[in-house]
This record gives sequence, C-alpha cells and structure tokens, in this order.
Amino acid sequence: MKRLLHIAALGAFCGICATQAFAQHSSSATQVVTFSVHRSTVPASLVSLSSSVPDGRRADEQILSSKHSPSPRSLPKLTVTLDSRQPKNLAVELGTANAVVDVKNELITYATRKSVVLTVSD
Amino acid sequence: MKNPYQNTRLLLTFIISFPYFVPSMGKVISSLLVVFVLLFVIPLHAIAQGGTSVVQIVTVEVKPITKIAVNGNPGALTVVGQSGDPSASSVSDNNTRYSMVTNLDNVKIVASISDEMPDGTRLMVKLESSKGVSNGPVDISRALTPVNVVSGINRGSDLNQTITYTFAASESVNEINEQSRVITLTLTD
Repeated sequence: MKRLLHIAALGAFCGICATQAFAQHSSSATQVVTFSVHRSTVPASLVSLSSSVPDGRRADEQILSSKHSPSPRSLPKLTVTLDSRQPKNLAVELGTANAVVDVKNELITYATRKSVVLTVSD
Repeated sequence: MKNPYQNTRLLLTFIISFPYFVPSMGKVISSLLVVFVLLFVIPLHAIAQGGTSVVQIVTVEVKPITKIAVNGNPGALTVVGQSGDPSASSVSDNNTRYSMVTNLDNVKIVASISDEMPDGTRLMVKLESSKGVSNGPVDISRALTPVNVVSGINRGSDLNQTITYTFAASESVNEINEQSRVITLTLTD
C-alpha cells in the first residue's frame, strides 16, 4: 500500500513537471474589421465608358470616359447619380450637375484632348 | 581536534578540587582561582563572538512573459466602383498599431478570424516587426485556425508596429452589406 502511494505521488509529480515544461505561454489581442462592397451596375446603353472629348469641342454629351490621358493638371473625379426609374436624357442630367460644369470649363479652358473619369450609379 | 573550552573546564575542575585534597592550600587556591578568573575567563568571554544567527531562504523566479496589445480597430474597408472595373477591387487600412513584449526566444504572432469571409472576398493582414520576421500580407479569409504572421521573435519589446489590413473583392461581387469579423492576434511560443 505504501509503495503504491509512493508510485502515485511520483506519477503526479512527473505529470505536473511535464505540464509545466510543455505549457504554452501566450497573450492575445483582438481587432474588429468591418467591410462592405458597393459596386454600381449601370446599363451599358446609358453610359459610354471610353469615349473622349476632342480638342476644343464642348463636352455636353461626350463627357463620359474611363481613360486618363497625360495632362499638366489632373482632372477631378466625379460621381453622378442617375435615377434609372425615371429615364432622362443623359446629357441633360450631366449638363445640370455643378461638378460636370466645372469639368466642362476645365476642358474648354485647356482645349486639349482630355479624359474625365465618371462614376455613374443608380 | 579538542575543543579549547574542554581544556579550560578541566583546568578549572582541577583547581577548584585541589583544596579538597590539600586543605592547607585552600586560601592560596582561592586567590589563584580569583586571579585565574580575572586573567583568563573574563578575557575569554570578551574575545568570544557570542552572536546568534538566523537563516532565511529567498526564492527567486522569473516567469515567462508574453504580452501583446493593439491600439484600436481599423477603419471600415469599403470597396466601391464600377462593376467589372478591376482597378477598384481592394482597399487597405494601416492606421492601427500593435506592441508586444516577451522574455522568451523564438516566439511568433499568429492571426485567426472569427468567421470565414464571404465568397469572392479576401482579407489579408500584414504585421510589421523589428524583432522578428514578418510573413508579409497573409490571407486570413479562412483562418479559423491561427496562421503565422510574424515568426522568430526574440526576447525584447516591439512597440507601435503597423498593422495593415487589405480587403479585396473579385469583380463578380457587386454588393455586400457591412459585415464585421473579429481578428485575434496571439503572441505565443
């Protein structure tokens, strides 16, 4: 009986030692990452993504473009919101937007071949 | 080796018991005894360092230290743009920092995510490190079990290191409402 007790005590001691030897020491910190995706899907018939503005021409209707040609000044990026439920003349919509007016002035002032990046969403 | 006190005791016993055997010498012996005490016993007591001692056992232990902390959450990662436009497919945030300290060698930082990312999206994390080797942008989109982001960190501290999160969405993904994931960074050996 005494020998059994000794063996049990020895086993417990060894177990504790092994646990200590292989114990992982760690510390954790957490962060919350928030994400979302919002991409527009505009009907192709309404937007021409690669048209360009010819030299000296007023840009009432051909202002949509996704190309960015080299220029001495970077052109502003615009966001124009269209209501697809009430189809209107795209040129009128763009022509009344203040931001587009600024771009038109920019184009007329420089009278060179330039491109404007527009993002149109419904 | 004989104890010097044993010799002294033997001598005293002899001197004190001497008058018993030679009664006529009693007075002389008494005088000798007084002289002996004055000459030897009192100086011996004076010379003897009779202090006491106590013993204490001081146990010293340095426990393993691993500590990591971050300074907040990254901003919302929102992919916007034209559908099918490959240039608008990912967004990054590098505004958060982490600090760590350890007294162990060869520890690492692992990252895990609370839930898998939606199909067609990826979340990557990159941790800068001056004490270890950064694994660069590591895809943790499916990392329900931790993956290594920094390894080979030796003892010391690393303060205000940049964490960069990159969220990417394939062109086929047009709309995902705002979702969140908990990212756990663990410093471990």
